[in-house]
Amino acid sequence: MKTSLRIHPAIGFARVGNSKDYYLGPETMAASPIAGSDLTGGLPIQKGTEDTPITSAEVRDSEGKLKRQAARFKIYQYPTEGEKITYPTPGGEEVVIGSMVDGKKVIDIIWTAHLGNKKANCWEIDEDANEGIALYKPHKVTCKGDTFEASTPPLRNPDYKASEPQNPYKVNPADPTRLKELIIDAGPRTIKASNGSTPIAFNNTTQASYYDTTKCRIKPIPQYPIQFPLATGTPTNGSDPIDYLGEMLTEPNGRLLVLGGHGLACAFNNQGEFDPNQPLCKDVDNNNWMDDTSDGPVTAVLVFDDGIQPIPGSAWVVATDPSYAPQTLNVVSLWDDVYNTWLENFNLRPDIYNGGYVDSYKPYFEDDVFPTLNAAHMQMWNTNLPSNAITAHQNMRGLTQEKPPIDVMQFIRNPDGSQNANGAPLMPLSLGDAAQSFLTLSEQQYSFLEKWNNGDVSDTPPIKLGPGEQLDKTVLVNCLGGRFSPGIDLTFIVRDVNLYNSNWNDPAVGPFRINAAKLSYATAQADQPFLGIGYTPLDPSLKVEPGDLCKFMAVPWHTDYNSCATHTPAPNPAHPPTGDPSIDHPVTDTNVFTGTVNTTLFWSWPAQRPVAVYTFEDLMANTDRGQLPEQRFSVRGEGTEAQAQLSSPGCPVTGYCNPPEPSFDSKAMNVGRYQDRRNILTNWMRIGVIMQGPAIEGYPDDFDKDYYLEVASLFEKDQSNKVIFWPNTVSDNVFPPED
Amino acid sequence: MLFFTLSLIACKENKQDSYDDVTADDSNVDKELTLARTSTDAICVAPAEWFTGPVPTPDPGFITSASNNCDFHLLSWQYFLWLTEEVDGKLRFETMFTNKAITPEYQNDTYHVLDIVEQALSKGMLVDQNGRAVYSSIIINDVFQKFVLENKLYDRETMEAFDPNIGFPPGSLTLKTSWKIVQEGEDTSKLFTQNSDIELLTMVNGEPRIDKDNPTIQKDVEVALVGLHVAFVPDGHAEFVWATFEFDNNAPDFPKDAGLNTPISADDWLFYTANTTAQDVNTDNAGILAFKDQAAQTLTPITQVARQFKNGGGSDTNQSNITQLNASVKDSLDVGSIWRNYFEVGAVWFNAPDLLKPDWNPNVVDSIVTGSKMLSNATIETFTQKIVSENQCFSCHNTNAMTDVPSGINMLGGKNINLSHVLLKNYIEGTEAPPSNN
Repeated sequence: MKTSLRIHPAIGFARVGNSKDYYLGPETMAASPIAGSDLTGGLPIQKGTEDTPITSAEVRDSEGKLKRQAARFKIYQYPTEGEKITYPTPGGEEVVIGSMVDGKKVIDIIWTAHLGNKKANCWEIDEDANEGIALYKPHKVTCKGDTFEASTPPLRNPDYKASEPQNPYKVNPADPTRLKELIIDAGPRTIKASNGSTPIAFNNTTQASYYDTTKCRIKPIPQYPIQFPLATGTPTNGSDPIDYLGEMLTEPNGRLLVLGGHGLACAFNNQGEFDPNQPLCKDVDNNNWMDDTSDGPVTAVLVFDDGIQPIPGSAWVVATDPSYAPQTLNVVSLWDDVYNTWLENFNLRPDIYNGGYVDSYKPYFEDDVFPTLNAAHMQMWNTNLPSNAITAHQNMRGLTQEKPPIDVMQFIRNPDGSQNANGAPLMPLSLGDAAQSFLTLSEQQYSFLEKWNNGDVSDTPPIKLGPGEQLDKTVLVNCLGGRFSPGIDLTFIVRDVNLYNSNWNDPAVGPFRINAAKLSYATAQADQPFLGIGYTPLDPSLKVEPGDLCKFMAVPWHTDYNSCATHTPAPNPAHPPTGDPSIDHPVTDTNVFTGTVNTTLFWSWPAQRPVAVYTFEDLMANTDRGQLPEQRFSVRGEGTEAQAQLSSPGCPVTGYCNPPEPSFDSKAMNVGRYQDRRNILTNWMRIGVIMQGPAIEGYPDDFDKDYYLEVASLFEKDQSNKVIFWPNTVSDNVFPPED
Repeated sequence: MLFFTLSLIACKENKQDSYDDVTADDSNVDKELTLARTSTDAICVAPAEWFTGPVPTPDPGFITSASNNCDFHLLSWQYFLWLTEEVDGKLRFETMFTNKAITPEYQNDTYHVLDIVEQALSKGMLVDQNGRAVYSSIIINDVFQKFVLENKLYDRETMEAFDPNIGFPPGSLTLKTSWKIVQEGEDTSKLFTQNSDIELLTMVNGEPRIDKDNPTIQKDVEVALVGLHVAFVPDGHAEFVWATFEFDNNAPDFPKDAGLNTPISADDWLFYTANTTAQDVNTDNAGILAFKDQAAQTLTPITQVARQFKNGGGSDTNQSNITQLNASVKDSLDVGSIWRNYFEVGAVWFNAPDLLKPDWNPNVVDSIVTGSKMLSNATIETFTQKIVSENQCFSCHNTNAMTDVPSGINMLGGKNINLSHVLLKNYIEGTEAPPSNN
C-alpha cells in the first residue's frame, strides 16, 4: 500500500501588511482554550518557531509598520490509506527534510506557487441587488428599457478601453485586452527548500518558473507573460503602483511560507494609465481600482536521493486583509460554511448528514457546540454590547455538555428561513447576506445546538482529526463566514460545489480542495494572457485559476473593511415582519420614525472587523484598577468623525442601467469609519490589533487574563465619536469622544 | 350589574371569536347609541356611572372571550380612575404595596419613596426642562402580592422551580408611576401634585445615579404626576393588559412622516422645547449624563421628549377607540377634576384568552399581540421608542428565559411569571429592604 501525500492546509491564508517583515498565520483555533496556557488560540506565530505565539511587541516592525502574515504549508504522509479515504482521516505525519517516505529519505522539497489577482475583470458583487451567488443563475435584467437574461451580475470596469458607456452585462470578460490589462498575473515561482532562505518574489522582475515533472527539474519560463499592468506611477494619496504580489520562502525543514502584498491599492483610468485621481464610489465594487491581494495554487515535489515524488494534489493560498482580532472567533466561521457545503453535498460525514441531518448523530459538546457559545461571548471585545448582553453571553459560555437549564433555542434564529426578518432577541444579532436580513448559524451548527439543548450529546470524544486535517480546519475557523457581502477572506463561492474537487475520496486529493485548473506552463507565450475568465460560480465547466478566489472580494478591500462597521439590515424587513422577508423596505426620511422599518444598526463582521474596542492604554490609565475602561472605535483617526453623508467626491450620479436612488444617510450610520473612503487607503495600517492580556507586553499579573484589548494602534488622538452601547439607531445623535 | 350593561352597550362592535381589531359594522351598533352619537365608527365611550359617584371597582371578569378592543380600553380607564381616586387623603394607588412588599418580612411596606430614575433597558434618565431627573416608583396590589407570597416566589430556588405555565391570577395589578419635580413658582394647575420623598442623585461609578446601597432621601418634595403605567390581569389574560396614561401637556406626538429634521411641534410642552427636530428628541443620555449642579440635583443635557407613536399605534379601530374614550372621559369628568388633564396613551394585550406561554417574545411571534402595538409612555420609556425591538411593553415584559444573571445565580428558564420585573429584579438582586420612613 503506497503512502499518500497531501499538502496542508488545503486553503492557507496570508495577510497583507505594509511591513516587509512578517509572522506566521495562527495554527490554533481562535478563542479555543489551550491546555496548560492562559492564552487561548488564534494568535499568530513568531517566525522561526514551531508554535510560539506573537506578543504585542511583534505586531509591528521597528519602523512601526504592520507586519504581514505568512501562510505556512506543510506536507503530511498517510502510509496506510487504501484506494478511498473517508473523513476524518486519522493520523498523518509531517514530512520535512530528513523524513522517511516509503523507506526513502527526503533530501529536499521543491514548492511551486502562482499568484494572481483578477478583481478588476470580475463581476460585481452587486451591493444593490444583494443576492450573492444567486446572481449567477439565469435571471431577467432590465437595463435602459431593454430586458434580457443574464447569468452573472454586472461586470466591473465595463467601460475599460471603450469610447462610450457600456452595458455591464454585455461586456465580454474574455476580451484579450481585458485579460491582459485588468488581471495581475505574477505567474508561477518555484523554490527549492534547500535554497529557501532567499525569498522568491512574485513581482515583475523575477523570472517565472515551474517544476517540470517530466524532466525532473525546475524550469524557467522566460516567455511567461507576467502581468503587472499598473507597475509604474507616482504614489499619490493611497494610489500606489503595484509591481509585487508577495513572495515565498521556506523554513529550514522545508515548509513553505507564502507572503502577500503590502496592502496597496492602485487607481487607473479607462485607457489603462495610472491615475490616482479616480474616485472611490462604492464600498465593494470600485471601478478603476486594483489592489495587491492575490491567490493561487501551491504544489510540491519531494526530492529523494534517487529521484522525486510529486505531491499529486494541490493546496491553495489566499492573501487577504490583515487580521485585526485574531483571537475573536466568528459565530459562523468560514469553516462552518465550507463544512456545511461539504456535509450537504459531498457525503463527507454520512453519519452527520445523509440527505438530511441524521437523528442518531450525537454532537460532541467540546467540538460541536462550545465553539458557538464561546464565539458569542467573544463578540464583546469587538462590539459595543450592553452589559446585560455581555453577561448573558458569559453565562451561555459557562454551560457544559449537560442539558442546558433553559431552552437555549428560543434565542437562536432558525436557519430554515422562517425567522430571517426577526432581529433581537434571536441570535446571532449580526447582519446576514444574500437577501437575508440577519445572520443565522449554519445548518449543522443549529442541528448540533438543538440536540444539545435536548440533552442529546455524546460522551465519547470523536475520532480526532489528524494534524494535517486539523490544520485545514483551523485556518478556516480563523476566517469569517456567514456574511459574504463579500467578506474578508473568501466569499459566497465557498457555498458552490463547483469550487471544489469532488473526487475527495481519492487519497491523492482529499477533502476541501479547490478544483484547480491544470496550468500548462509549457504553453505560455509572451504577450498572450495566460489566465482566462476562470472559475465562474455555478458553472461546472470552468476550473479555478490563480486569482479566481480573491476576485470576488471588494476592490480595493480597504473600502469594504472601512464600511463594514454597522448597518441597518438589508433587506430591511417590514416591521413587524410580514409577507416576504426578502423584500427590502429601506429606511427613508419619511418612514424613519414610523416604526414600520428597522432603524437599528447591527454589526457586519464583528469578529474580524472590530467596531468598538477596549484599549490596553485606557485600561492601564483607568483609575479603577483592572476594570474595563470605556470603549473606543477601532477606526478613529482624523477624518472619522461621523458626518451625515459619506463623502464621495467625483462619483458619477448615474449608473448605466439604473440611476442610483438617493439613500437615507445619517451621522449615526457612519460612526467608526472614515467619512471619505480615500482615507482608509492611507490609514488601514494604523488600526490596532486585539490581543489577549497575557500576550501584551507589560500586562500586569493581577489583571484579568481573559481580557482582549486593543494594542499597537497608531491613532494618537481619538478623532471619531463616543461609543454608545447597542442598540443604536439611524436617528441617534452622536457625540465627541471623551478625550 | 348596571356598569356591565352600560359598558357592553357603550362599546358594542363586531363580536369576534378573538379580539382582532375590526372595523365596526353600523348594523351592530346599538340603535339608541347610534341615535345619541353621529359617528359611524365604533363607539367607545365611558359609562356614566363612573362619574356619578365612587368609581366602581374594576372587575377582571369584565373581560371575556367575547370582549372587543374597546372593552380593554374601558377597563384600563376604569382602573386609572379608580386608582387615582382619593382614599383617606391619598390616591388609592398609594394605599397599595410597594414592589418591596413581596417578602413576608416587608409585606406591609407602603412607603412610596420615589426611588427610580433610570429607564428600563436604555439606562438613560429623563431630564426635565429644569434639569431635574423624572422619578418613578413601582406599586403592586394585594392580589399580586398574595400570589407571590403564597407561592414563595421571592425565594430564588422556588421561583426557579415554579411551573413555567402558571401566570399571575386575575386581579393582579402592578403600576409604575412617573413624577416631575415641581419648581418654585411653576404653574402646576393642571397637574396632580403632592409631596413625596425622593432618593437623591450622587456619583455612582462615574455617573449621576441613586446610590442604591445607601440612598439619601429628601423628604416632602413637591412632585407632579406625569405618567402612570397600569398593568392588570383580567380573566384569561395572564399576559397582563399593559395600559399607560400621561399628562396632556407632557410632549407632542410625532407628525406623520416626520423626517430627521422635522420639528415636532411649534409649541413648548412640559418636556419639549418648541421646534426641536425629530433627531433631537428622545436622545438617550446614558453615558453622557452629567451633573450641572449636584447640590441642586440638576443634570445636563436636558431631554427633549416627543411621543413617537400616537395612541401607541395599532389598528385604526384601536386608535379610534382610544381617542373616543379619552374624549368621553374628559367630557364626563367634573370640570374641576384634575384627571381631565390626563389621557390614555394606549393599551396592549393578546388577541384571545389563554395564549400566554413560556419562552415567548413579541419580536419572534407578534401575531398574538393586539391593541397599541408600539406603546410607550413618553416619560417612562422615552428612549426606547425608536428601537423596533424595544418599542412596546412586551418587548421587555415577556416570558423568555432570563440569561443575564450575575455570576453564581442560575439562569432562569422561560416562565409566564417572568412578565413581572418585580420578580425578575428580586431573583437577581435578592430582597430589597425598604428604606426607613422616619
